[in-house]
Amino acid sequence: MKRLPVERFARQLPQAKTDSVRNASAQKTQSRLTALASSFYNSEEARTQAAQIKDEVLDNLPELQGQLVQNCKRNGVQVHFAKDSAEANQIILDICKRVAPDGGIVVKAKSMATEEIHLNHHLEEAGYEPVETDLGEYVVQIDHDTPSHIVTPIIHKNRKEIASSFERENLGPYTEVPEELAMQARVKLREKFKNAKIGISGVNFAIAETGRIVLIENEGNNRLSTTAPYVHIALMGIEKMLAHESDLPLFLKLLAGSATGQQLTTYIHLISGRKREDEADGPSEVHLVLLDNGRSRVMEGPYRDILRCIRCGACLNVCPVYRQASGHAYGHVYSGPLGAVLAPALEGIDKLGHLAKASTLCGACEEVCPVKIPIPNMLLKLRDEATRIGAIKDPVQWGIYATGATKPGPWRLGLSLLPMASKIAPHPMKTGWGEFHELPHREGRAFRDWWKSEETSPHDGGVGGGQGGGASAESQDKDDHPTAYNSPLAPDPWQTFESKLTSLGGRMGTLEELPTKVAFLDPDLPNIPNLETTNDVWQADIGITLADFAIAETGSVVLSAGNNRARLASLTPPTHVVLVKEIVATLEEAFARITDRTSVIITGTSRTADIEGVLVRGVHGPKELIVIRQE
Amino acid sequence: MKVQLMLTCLCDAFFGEVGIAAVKVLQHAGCEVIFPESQTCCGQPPFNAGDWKASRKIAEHCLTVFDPAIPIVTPSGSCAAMMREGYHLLWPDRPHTKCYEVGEYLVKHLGITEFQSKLQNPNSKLKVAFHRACHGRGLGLTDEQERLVASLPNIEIVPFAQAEQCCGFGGAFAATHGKLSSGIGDEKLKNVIDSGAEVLVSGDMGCLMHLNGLIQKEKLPIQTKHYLQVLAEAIA
Repeated sequence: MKRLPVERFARQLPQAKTDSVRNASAQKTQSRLTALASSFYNSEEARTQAAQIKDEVLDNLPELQGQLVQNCKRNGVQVHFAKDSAEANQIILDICKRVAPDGGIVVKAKSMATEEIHLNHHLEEAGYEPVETDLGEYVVQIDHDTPSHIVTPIIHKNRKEIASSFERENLGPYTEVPEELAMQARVKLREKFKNAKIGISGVNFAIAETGRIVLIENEGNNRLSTTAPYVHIALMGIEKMLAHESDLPLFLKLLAGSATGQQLTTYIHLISGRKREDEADGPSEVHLVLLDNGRSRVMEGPYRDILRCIRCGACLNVCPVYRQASGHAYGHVYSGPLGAVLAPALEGIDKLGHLAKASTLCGACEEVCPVKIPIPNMLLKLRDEATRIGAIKDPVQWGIYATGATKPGPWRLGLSLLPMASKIAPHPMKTGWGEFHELPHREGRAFRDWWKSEETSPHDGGVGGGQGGGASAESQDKDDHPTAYNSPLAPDPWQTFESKLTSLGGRMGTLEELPTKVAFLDPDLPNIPNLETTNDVWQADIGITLADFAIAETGSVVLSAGNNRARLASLTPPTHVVLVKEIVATLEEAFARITDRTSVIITGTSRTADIEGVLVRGVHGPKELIVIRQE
Repeated sequence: MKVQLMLTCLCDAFFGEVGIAAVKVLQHAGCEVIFPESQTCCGQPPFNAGDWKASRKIAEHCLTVFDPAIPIVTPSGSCAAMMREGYHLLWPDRPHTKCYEVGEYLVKHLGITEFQSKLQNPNSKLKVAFHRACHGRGLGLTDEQERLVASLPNIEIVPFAQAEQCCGFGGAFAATHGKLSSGIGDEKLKNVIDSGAEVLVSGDMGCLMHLNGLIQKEKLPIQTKHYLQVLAEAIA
């Protein structure tokens, strides 16, 4: 029997890799549950809402895209269309060549879309030095590997392997301590951020009504890549739109909860175009590249629902096959249940339809999907289509089986012989089954014989004598809460804020107790006595900024551009001190009041869990976050 | 209350006792059980394999065997899901077949949530790990079967790690993807054995046949049983 690729890969995968993937996946599946339970009264209802919203986006894609393009242009963002990978690569290379004709560093934030078009390869061929700046993606790049998970690219590696790679690349003395490894990467990549003229990112959401590009992350590398260089290029699949900013609270919570088990990710970057006159930093050019690459075709067919996907990776984490096989087994950028549908849908069922076979159809993926994609049903449809076009061949002749199964007489005879037949005749199912299993044998009485004897003898009083009742007893556990989200708040929002902030690695503080270090101050801050200051944001030990307001339920602070403030002040110094006067209760209220300037929602310190799931704070952004409440 | 029993091909070929237990439990609950003898297969094997043409042929036969006016019950979540949801994929225009997993029918349609045990020694508790077969998800089932078993005084349900994970059977998947399937199954069995359970109980003979095949091959210290057998023994 010819084995299919995913099984073939799993057979040569060392047990240690399976263990790495399985343990990390199980951990993430568990933290997802906890996070969603704390974010939503009724996460089931939240998922239903999100699925409907994404469906409406797909229904109205051309109109929304028109709106998005218009609003991006108004914001000074240049929009490009790429019908396929080749066009997308060409558009990006053309921009690079104009901005940096002699080559140079291109810093990259983590992006599956750029993986999909194999952008790094094209950049390298054209003489550029693409540098992946997400810790996990960086490890993948220096190892000449590929990501094995769409959110956690090095889920298949342990700390020893990462330590060896860092030592080989001369990042510092050999260490297996995740925090030290993260610091070595921080130091190395700082130089790249400073010297790059070009930063490239993906897009988590683009908002049609405002033209805003939304990026989420935990490390700070994404904000650095899209803020420090002269030009920012964002590559986005055409389906990753939302109509309204008011849709964001639901999606941001669902995505963070499903992907990493957080209420919100540390940074939510809301990009409203290029640097303006009253802004101290930010890219002078922002480009948005809209990538089709097969999506319009998928939109018209039976796999359209897969385009609701927001790339959280929850279906990978919960999938028993993914846990055994790892992402590399799928041989495609998109792996796991999501990949088993999206990869063949985008690239052809003739080429990748076999991926649909690598599933037990257990349905766990659909159960955790934040946008309720019916993945199992789509896998079934894919199997049917792949069989019809001859892309996959089953070892069993089902036509013959069907003929037998529609003739009750021969069927009964066949079944009665099966327990014996399976012991003698070699056939494909037996070889496959018998390698790991004992063959089944008949246990106890045969049902049909028993039934015949029952029919001829009187029943032993069972009929009519039970406890049956006629009424249907469908359970009615309806939730009374009016909306699917919002968490109960303590009466004092600042109290809620402080407890959240503390749990996220931040703390409340006062101006008086600031350490005597060199600080970079936002220009609109009042003078703070006894503080040594610098004008170089890259050199500062402390960045002190104002926040527009705080958000109680998530422990976040919201900062916006303008008044000659520097975005990097909240990012490059190891300590970020933020002064804030006002507070709102919920994320929904926050979105009602956030300005239309480029903004960031900061929730806790910069962090990563890329190395064996161990939490490290301060990887690219600040390790310390001190919030000072101003009366 | 008349019901038609869909035996399933696995119980027809190998596990007759499960079919017998289903009849006993349904009769105890006050049902009159009909067994249409010309039934064969629900069509799920070719359906899952991707041969929908062959599957439609079998499904057509299956639909002629059963009376559409009388509920169909079956001791397997996956066969129930095939007849109710799978047929709807084969023919989106036709209504959903009135087919239910036995426990689903008892709990959701007859409102039965507990059984009285007639066992002599109800105080000696049997430690049971209950594996919820995945096709319950397709039927919208949660703890219906488990609740029925837990209602017996002689049963102690013990929790085990990663309980929501699949057993790795997946029909033909267990043969075509043997390494993956057995790897998933071994993980399940390890978690069950670590829990201290004496018996692994579930509601689908597909899962149990697969797990038993692994248990026997690897000589693992755990037994398996269909939940309807546990109920039937208690009420006998």
